[in-house]
Amino acid sequence: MSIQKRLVGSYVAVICITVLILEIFLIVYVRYYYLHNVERSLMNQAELSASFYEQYFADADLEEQAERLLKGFAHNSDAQVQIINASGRLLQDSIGLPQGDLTMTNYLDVRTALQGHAGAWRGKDPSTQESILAVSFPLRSHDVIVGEVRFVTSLTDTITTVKHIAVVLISVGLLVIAIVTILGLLLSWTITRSIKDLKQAADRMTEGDFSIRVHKRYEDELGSLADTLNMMASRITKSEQLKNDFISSVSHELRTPLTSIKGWMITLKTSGSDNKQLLHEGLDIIESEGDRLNHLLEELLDFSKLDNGRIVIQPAPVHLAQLLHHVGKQLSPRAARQAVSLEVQTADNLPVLHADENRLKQVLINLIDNSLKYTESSGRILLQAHAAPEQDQVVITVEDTGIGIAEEDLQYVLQKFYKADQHATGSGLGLSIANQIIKLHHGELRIMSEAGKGTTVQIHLPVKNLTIS
Amino acid sequence: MLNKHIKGGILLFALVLLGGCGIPTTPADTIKPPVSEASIQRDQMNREFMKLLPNKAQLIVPMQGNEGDNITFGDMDGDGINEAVVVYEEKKGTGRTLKAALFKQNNANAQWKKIFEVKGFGYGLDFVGFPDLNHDGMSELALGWSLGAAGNGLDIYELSKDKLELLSKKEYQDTLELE
Repeated sequence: MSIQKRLVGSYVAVICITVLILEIFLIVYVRYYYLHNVERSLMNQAELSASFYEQYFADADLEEQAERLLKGFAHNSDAQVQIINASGRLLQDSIGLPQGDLTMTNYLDVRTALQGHAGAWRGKDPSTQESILAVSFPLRSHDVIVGEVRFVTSLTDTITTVKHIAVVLISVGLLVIAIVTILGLLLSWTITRSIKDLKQAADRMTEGDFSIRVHKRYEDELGSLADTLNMMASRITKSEQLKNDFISSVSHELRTPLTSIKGWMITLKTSGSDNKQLLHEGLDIIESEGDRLNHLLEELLDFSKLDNGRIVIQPAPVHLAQLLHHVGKQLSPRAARQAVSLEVQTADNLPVLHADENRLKQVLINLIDNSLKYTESSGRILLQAHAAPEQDQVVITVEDTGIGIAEEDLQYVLQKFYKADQHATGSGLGLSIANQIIKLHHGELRIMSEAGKGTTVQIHLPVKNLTIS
Repeated sequence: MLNKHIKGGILLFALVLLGGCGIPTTPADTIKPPVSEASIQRDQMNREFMKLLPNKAQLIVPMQGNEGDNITFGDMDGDGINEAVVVYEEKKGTGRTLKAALFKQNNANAQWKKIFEVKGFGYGLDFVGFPDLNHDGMSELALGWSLGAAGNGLDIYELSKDKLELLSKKEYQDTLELE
């Protein structure tokens, strides 16, 4: 059974029961009120008549003055008035004495009054079958019952009035039920509408469409459920995005050494046979790049196991000048191919660092790779390192004369997956990973750039106290 | 929200319903005779007596004599100061009771005080007066109760020690003969 049916059903059931109880109570009460009041006023009339008789007319014979008394008794009453003697015989009747038997003792109220009590009786007139109410009151003469006065009224009008009121009450009750039903429908509609929206959206999500968003109708529990569902959908979309980004980032990471290897392969293929030294050098680089590739893959396996791309640092003494020259040599073939001059400058007083050489290399290659990507031919890339003893730091700078980074993008370039140009190659992970690695070395990566003029990336690495967890 | 509109509508509907209950007086109900000097005095007296009667009591004018005045004066104790009798009707539930109240005026400050009350019979008051029936110089109180065409009942009371004592009770038809 649907929520709407249940809600409206229970609503209507409750109100039906309430209205029914109220109606029964009201109708019974109205009926009682009318009949009781009619009886009371007849009784008052009878009592008033009887007491007047007892006070002033008791000395004379009842039968003799019956006709006159009847006029007085009936004076203020619309009811039928009868005077009955002590033996139960009808003496006078305001609507005329009936033909035939005048004995009235078969009526309960007459018998009660003859015994000295006020009597009331409700029933049907034997001849016309009309509902009537009769009230009898004994007439006393010096404490002896000499007869009784009887007031009889038709109940037709009373019953009609009660019925009329009952019809009004029932109509009002039905109206109330109708209003409540409509209200219940409206109310449940506002609930089920939201639920239907949610269900539809959830169905679409089940089918894999996470771009759907639930329309929030009211600020209620269902509204917050809609918010939650929407948030869930956007989280799923984001993690989907993250997965894709991760795949492309991994590809990017794998491509960097492959690019180097392939570059050297081409160089050696063309001029390797003539130049033995170049051949050796090239093969060495290919070997080390192969190692690096292997290392990267191993790391990737670790990476997949680790939370959220946490990278492990393995520190060892690093000769920065050697590293820089090695990187410069490694990338120089590509630079030459792009007709970009790649210069390496190292100061003489560089201290020996305690760092993860492979990671630093990865960072440098990444930075130079970026510079190469965005520097036009005949551009210049400067890889430089100097010590800053006053701060106990070593500063490595990668400076290019490339296209630079727009000011509005500069603050985002270190974020994961951020790409100023969505069509550019790479995952947008490079700088982010580089930043992470430098941070793990307790260093700092600063990027200064001016669109059209070039970019300078500075890596500040501390010399001492490099304790790596 | 939709619900708020519905609530407002119901409230307005209820207000209109309740407002309809205060129907103003119909034009015919506002008709009454203009005030005269005598009526102002009588009204004042009426109000004074009404204050001494129970709440919701209604003064009754006798059918015979008295020119429509509902207060009758007479000296019952022979002190030269008139007593006053007021007949009123009290509604109780579906029934009603007739009562006659006797008032005496205080010598010192001319304040009226209810001294005695007797029960009445029938539908209404036919006659009220202070005749001196036994010629002792002090008036008796005669109250004629009516039961319409059936006849009337006359009660004669005498004042004794600030109490009304029933002297006689008799029925009479149409015209009252006190002697």
